[in-house]
Amino acid sequence: MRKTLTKKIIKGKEYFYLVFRKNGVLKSQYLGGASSMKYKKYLFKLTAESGSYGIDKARHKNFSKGAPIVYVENGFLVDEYKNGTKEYLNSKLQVVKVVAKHD
Amino acid sequence: MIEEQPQLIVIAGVPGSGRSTFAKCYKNAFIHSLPLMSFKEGLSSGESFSTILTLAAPEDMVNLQKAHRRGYRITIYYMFTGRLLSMLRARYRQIAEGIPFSESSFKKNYAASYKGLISTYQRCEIVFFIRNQKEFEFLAAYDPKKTSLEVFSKALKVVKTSVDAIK
Repeated sequence: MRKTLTKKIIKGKEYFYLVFRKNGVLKSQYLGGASSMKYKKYLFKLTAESGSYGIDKARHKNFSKGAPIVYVENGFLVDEYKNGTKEYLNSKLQVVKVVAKHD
Repeated sequence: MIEEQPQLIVIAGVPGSGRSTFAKCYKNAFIHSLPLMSFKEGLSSGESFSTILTLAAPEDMVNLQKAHRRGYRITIYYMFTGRLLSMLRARYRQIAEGIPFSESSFKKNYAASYKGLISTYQRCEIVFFIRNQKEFEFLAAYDPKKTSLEVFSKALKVVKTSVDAIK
């Protein structure tokens, strides 16, 4: 369910709400001011949402420039190229394993 | 009358740590509510804004001091990737863009960025630790009113050591 963060300023103070639609009815959930734990927990939750979105963006950006993407997998550095080949590197940046993608 | 305090969101980390990707990925959530602009532009506007910094440059520290003095509520999202990983990312990107890569200057910035985060900590409202070794992962949040600088520095060192460890 998509919830939109909304800010209201009342007498110079900021208050935050989450606005969403449930069964076609518009509802709001009060989070409190900027220093409230509810609001901070909401921000925690956003940052806790891990997903592949970031790496997909990096893939698109790097591959379009002809560069690989780099990440950590099982404690090794991995260079992933556009053709799907992965090079595993150790801390001395030596290639210890190459995994080619097969169709 | 209570004056509204402007908000400043800083997405911080060394080059290659994924700061700009993070800003793009989460723009629909909270960062989107604030315009992403350079520090100079944002500060001169006097309005709430978000910006991307390394925290390694001395002018970053001066600007954050200025923002703090002007009453900005500062939130930092600090990206942890590890020295080798961020160095490779920065190197590939610069090579792809035809920019020469200096390893020594990268290493200097890498150390300075962590020092910058420690020296800025007490001016912040909250500091989030985000690990970005493959995907964005929330690690912790520190509030200077609740967590001392000493405890924060220790936690920072632990995370730094863990992300730097490569087999």
